[in-house]
Amino acid sequence: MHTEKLIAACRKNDGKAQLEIYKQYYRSMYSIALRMLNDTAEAEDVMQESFLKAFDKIGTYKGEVTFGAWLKKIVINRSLDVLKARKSMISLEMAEEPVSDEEGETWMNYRGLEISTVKEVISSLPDGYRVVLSLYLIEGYDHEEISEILSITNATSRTQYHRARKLLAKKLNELKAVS
Amino acid sequence: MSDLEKYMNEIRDQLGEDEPASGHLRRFSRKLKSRQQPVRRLNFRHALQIAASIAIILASGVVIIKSSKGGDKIAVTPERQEFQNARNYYVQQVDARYNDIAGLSFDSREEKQLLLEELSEMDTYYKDLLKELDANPGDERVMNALIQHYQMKLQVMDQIINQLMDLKNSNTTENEKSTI
Repeated sequence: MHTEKLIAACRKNDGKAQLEIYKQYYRSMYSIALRMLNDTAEAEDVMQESFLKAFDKIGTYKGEVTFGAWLKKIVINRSLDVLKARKSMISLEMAEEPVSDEEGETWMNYRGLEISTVKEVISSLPDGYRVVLSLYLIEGYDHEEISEILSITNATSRTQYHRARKLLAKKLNELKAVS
Repeated sequence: MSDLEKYMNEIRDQLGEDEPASGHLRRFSRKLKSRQQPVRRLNFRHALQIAASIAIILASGVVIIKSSKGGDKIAVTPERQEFQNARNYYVQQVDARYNDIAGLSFDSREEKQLLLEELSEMDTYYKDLLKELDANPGDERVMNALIQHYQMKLQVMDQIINQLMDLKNSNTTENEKSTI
């Protein structure tokens, strides 16, 4: 069944359709939660709670963005709640000056690195870096959107992302150099 | 766009393919149902929990074999023939249990589907073992792991069948009492 039909059935609280929607999106939603939380059990909880919340609030989904994008926002917000409750997210430092996107990054061909290795390196980043980097680099949000999601300034989002990217590049370069 | 950003763009899809722990579908289905149906049957849940636990144990077994096996290949031997005979026997037994389970009555089609999906999830590890055996014909550790897999799967299936039969019998008794 097409996603649109499934969503229509979900609006009628059809359990089968809800399960089908879950099967369609759980991997990507779980991946988002896992990247943000770095904990498999918490990521599963957040992912599943987000689906339940989405089904509860499906009346508010107007179809202005894809269902996946709408659901993703719920997963991200719920993950942030958990991070805040954990109080482990490092403070997002205020940026005084904008930073050049290319500054301080050495060219390196990353192809050939195992995807699992890249995932491990991302998960090794501090919470604050990992969250901003994931939102920008992987989930495709821009700094304006990230600043809204995280309640920080646009400049802070840019600085935090720049630092996170530098650290990720450094770690990947080190791995590439020894491989 | 930096080289890192270009690279991350290329692999973005592959970064979204993480798989939650085994049994997540069942856990979610339970959460979904708990919002609609407050009362569930404990026995059925228990059977599924056992199936999920065994799946995890079997998965661990595959990991151990993968990490400990050497690369030597062994030619066809009488032991391998003996293993093949045992395997044929177990495959037959597992098929018979599948038919038994498929023929039993469940509360709902969805419940039955979930149980069968849970069992087929166990087959993922079985397929891994078969690949290992293809790569290392005659490797005793893989053959033993396969036999253990069959034995454990049969045990799980027997437990499920017994619990479903108990459930069926108790329902029949209750119906008889209410008729009287």
